Amino acid sequence: MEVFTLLGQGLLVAIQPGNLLFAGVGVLLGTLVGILPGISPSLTVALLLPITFKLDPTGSIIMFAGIYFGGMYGSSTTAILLNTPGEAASIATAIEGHKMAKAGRGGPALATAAIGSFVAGSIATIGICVLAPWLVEFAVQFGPWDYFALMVLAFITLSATFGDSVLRGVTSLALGLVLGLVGIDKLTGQSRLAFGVPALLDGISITTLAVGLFAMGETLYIASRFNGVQEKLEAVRGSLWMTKEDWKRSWKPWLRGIGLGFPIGALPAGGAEVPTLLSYTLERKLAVKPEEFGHGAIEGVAGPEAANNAAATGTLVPLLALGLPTSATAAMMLAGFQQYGLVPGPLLFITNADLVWGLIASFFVGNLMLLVLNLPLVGLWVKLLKVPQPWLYAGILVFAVMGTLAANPSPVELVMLVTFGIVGYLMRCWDYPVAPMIVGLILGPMAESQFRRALQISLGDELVFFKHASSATLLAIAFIALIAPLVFKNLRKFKGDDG
Amino acid sequence: MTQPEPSGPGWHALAAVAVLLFGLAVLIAFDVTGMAPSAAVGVGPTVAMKMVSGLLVILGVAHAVAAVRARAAHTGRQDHELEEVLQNRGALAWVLGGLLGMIAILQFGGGFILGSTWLFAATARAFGQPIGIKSPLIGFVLAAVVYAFFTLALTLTLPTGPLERLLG
Repeated sequence: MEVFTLLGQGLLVAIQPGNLLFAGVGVLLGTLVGILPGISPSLTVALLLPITFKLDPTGSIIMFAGIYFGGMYGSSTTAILLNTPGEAASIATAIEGHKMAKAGRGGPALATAAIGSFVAGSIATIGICVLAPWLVEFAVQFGPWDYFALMVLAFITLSATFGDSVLRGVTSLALGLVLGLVGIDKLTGQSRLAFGVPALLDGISITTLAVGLFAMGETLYIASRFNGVQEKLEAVRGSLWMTKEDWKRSWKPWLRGIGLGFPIGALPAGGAEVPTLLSYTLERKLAVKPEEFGHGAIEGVAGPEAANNAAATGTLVPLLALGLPTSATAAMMLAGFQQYGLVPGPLLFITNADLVWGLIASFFVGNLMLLVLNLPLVGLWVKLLKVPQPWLYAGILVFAVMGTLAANPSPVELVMLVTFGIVGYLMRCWDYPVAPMIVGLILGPMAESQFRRALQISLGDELVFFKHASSATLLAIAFIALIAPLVFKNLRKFKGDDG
Repeated sequence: MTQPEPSGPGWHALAAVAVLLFGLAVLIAFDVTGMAPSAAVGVGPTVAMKMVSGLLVILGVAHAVAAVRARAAHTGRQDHELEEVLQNRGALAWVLGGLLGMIAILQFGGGFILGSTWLFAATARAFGQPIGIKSPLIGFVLAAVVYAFFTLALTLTLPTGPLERLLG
């Protein structure tokens, strides 16, 4: 198997002491920031992006992977001990996990989450090894029309199909697309929507938008709902370790979670939210002791956590093989790649094979390190959860501003950051999803360039997208994905039931 | 979308978003008219702008329709939309004041540490921590450590002021 030779070489890259250090630091920083209440993994990546500015590409991308996994783990810890899921994908974990923590079984809940994430991450990484090269081979034959259709599909699934409201999701996407237009057009050099402001000519920075929408928006929202009461933290009591019975009850949910998470994550449908909720529902149906559900059933933590991690790893398949980000976090990863002038996609596997396989291998290393570092350090992480809210949010804002300034030290950038913060706050108030906006900003310009390339090749034939069977099929699926939630309003309901 | 969802935006919000979307569409259209016609072969830079502004108009109309419906469904009932958004406005003002103050401090050459100290103290105030000695002190130490780490260890540039020049 050629793939495993490549992976072996990648492992050699990943276990170089320097890279190992980067992975370790990434995992620690990711957990450190991700564990803070209200901070999602994508925000963790956005906040920590500036730290990797000056490192070499391989090292910083590896550190990045560590931050990503660390952030996810931190998010589930918050969900279990504080009942405040940092992201939608941790909601399922919070339901049972927090009940377990209340019943004095916080240790096993954290352990099954960590070990389940490790197993899921490892198996899903093997999934990437198998799937990505195959997809790359397939993707080499893709024409620009196929890419465009694929991006349209990603837009639709992300904004319309799985959200609460098609209208609000697509609106958020459209705002992102508008921001994506700002700046100099790469083909003609004409400036668009810059209105003579020099800082706008380079376009809107993804980091600024993400930090503004997530960090500023969230802080404003929490501040506006602040009533002076600190959320109650469940102490980790009793044994930290899983009993034999816990193991017996956990391993099947892990595997089922992976089975749900990885394929859904790898599809350009995006998001770990759907597989985690599906996994939760499935475990509740299959449970040996269904009466425990709602009162702290370990299966309800093990399954969704594995699904979450497998889905997150799965989203890296379209990201690496096609350059297609299908979640907010993947969009942040893509921003990280772009920072080094690397364009993910089939070509990257050829031009930077070392880096790609080093990154994939470092997922293994990162996951292992997560397990080794985080279970023993759980006491330390719990202390972080006790940081009083004034210091916590004040610190978050200082870091957010620092990150923006480090990337682009200009007052215009800060004004944009604050504006996005207010937009993010209003979107939270009115229940508009923010992730489509970020994906719109990053994917919009990419879709545009594929669109123009397609029309150039076809000599201006607008029907080119329908003349190729592959792109026509993708567009048809996209259309169905847009219409389906309008037709089947009940699709929304299963989320309401279980979430 | 005949039934207004409890968690979703009310009719004022929907109408406001509709206005915003129409405004953006007009803004883009205005920018398109100001651009020189492209001489390049193929699709020029304005096509995507037209497509996006078209999408904005469609979404604007959809919002307007939703707003009218939501309003009809709401007649006679008291609504608290503005209060929802401006809940706890003191806290909101402190956070925004912190951010704007930071921008002003940087603009007048106060430097990163001073600006961050203000931002930290103002945000902490929004979360009920009075501005005394404690919060500016924590903010100052945090900002100084962050500044030192990022400029010395990572050689990134952060705005400098009198304090930073003392350090560096």
